[in-house]
Amino acid sequence: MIRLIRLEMRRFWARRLFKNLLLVILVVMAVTGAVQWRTHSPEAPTLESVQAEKEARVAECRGYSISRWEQRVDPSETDAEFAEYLATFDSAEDYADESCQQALFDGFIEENRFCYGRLWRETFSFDAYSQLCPDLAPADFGGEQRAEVDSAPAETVIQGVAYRPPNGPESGALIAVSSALMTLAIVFGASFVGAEYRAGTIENLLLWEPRRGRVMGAKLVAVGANAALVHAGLLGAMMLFLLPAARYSGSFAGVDAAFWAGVGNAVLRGSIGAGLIAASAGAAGLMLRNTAGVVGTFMGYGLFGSLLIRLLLPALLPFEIANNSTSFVAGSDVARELQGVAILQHGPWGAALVTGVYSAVLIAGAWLVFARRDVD
Amino acid sequence: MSGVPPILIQRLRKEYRSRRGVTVAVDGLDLEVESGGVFGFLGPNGAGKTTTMRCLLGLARPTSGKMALFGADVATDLPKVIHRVGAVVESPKFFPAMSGRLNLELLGGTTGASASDVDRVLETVELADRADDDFKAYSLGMKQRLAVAATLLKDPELLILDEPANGLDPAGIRSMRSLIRELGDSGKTVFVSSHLLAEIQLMCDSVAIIDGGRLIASGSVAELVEGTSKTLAITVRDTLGATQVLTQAGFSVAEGDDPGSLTVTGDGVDPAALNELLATAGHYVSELRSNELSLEDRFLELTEDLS
Repeated sequence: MIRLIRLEMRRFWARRLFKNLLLVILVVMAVTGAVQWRTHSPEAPTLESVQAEKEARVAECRGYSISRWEQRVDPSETDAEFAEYLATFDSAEDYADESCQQALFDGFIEENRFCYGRLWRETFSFDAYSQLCPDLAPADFGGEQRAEVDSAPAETVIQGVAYRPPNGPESGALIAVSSALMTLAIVFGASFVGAEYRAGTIENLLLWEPRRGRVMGAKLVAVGANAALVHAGLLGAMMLFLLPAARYSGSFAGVDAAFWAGVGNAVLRGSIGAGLIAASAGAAGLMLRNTAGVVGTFMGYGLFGSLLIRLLLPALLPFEIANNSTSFVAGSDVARELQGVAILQHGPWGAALVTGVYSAVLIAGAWLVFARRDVD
Repeated sequence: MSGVPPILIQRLRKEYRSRRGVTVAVDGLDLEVESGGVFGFLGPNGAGKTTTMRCLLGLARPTSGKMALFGADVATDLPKVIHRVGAVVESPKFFPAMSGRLNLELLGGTTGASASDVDRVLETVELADRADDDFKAYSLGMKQRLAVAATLLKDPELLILDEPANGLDPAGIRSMRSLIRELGDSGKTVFVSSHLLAEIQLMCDSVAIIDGGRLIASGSVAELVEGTSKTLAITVRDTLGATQVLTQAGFSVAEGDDPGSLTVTGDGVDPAALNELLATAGHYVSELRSNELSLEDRFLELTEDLS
């Protein structure tokens, strides 16, 4: 069995399709990293001016709010309504905090490129230049915002239910790339097995090793392990390619132990996810005997099947495969809304378990088919 | 080698079920192949040759019947004897974007074959100089030779080859024939199917003929050809007169392919006696040729009888 796995590993790395795909992805990452480095804006002076502008705007807003608190006057409401509203705050500071949330976040530069992402907030979400490349966001730029970002991932309470948002300290580019690379894992798994059927070499292999359980096991182990390895390698490469941008166009402020722990977790989750998905795609390949069929089925389900379940059978969402696998890779909780209330179902590792159960079922199905079906 | 036959098939039946109904590819086939030499497995297209081979090698599950390789039940003990069997079923199948050498290394690796083993078999099939080219760049003949090389990598006692001369040019066919003959002479058992009956006749010691999934004849090539009526081709000026003389003498006469030629058939027809008969009647033979009966004639005779 070990010998078979080793051979399948060798075949995986010998495949031209694999090598070409890997090369293309690395080139794209390298180019993106170089572009980030050369064109990343804002530069430090811009950052400083934006920061100053934001602080001025926040200070202005707070001054205005405190003055309204003191005067109990708001032109848009009656005095009585406004007084009633103000009574919900303990102090002028609290009122200013609430009133100036928008100003607090306005003025950030939207970096709608590689390091662009979405920041989760308790009651709303919005786009901001931030956490996705913390090394590109100096600590003195939006320090308050950074604090928000760093503390936000822990959990958010929505109507009494703790909910972990889909953004951790490592979130953004890393999670986005990790999620996108799942497509690659599907292609690896499907084509690794599909190529055997297309070339007819599965027949040759069975003439050398007729124990089909071993043949199938070796294939799925090899493709799963390699997909996980490649996934981790590509995420590492992405960070490496962003290094010049961080070094010369940003700073390493905010890159601390928590950041690396988050990165490590994201890479681990992504690699496990890629391994499971590649092995599942390989298992599906043993049933469908066709690369395009497997890729089409997986993608089709991800695009349409999952959406249909979301629309027609929302109660199934906590146990829906696409929902769980994406939550696992993103490190978020699986929740569903019930009458407007978010109900926590399970965390990322619970999502991993659900994903694993689906993979196991698919592999068992593949075994039943592969063990019995004639090879021709 | 023991007295256990390398191949033993008993009442093999293979059905394919589809929405259109049940197709019987092999119907109660019994076959025993003795150790050593070259065994030809013949049959018209769709006779069930490849299906039989697939069942024998565990690639297809028989509907019923028993098969054994070196005494090991194929259904349960194939892994115990597969290292003694090398096989090519239908066309050569390798990864097109990998070199011939890498393809062999990946296969041979399953049983621990070394790089030098790969080199050895590549030399044997005369592919050493193209070993590092992609499989897709090979000619059909080279692909066939690579497939044979793969089977030799196990140094098997039994080779099962399905149409090994398919797509080969005359030189390639001759080279393949020599290789198979050499393997048979070296003590290995070669079980080979082919539709090139002349080739089979030249290289096989024994043959089995199947049609409609059933065995219709088996034995040594000499046994099968023996006892079949012979024909003589003659050329005379007056074909009508000659036909009359020969018919009166009890021969069966038909017009030949060329003008003035006749084909004479009859049990124990003797060229000298026939020539004398015609000359006595004033019909002088300008050409007389004995048509050697071939395995092909026998094959066609048997399969046409059945149809």
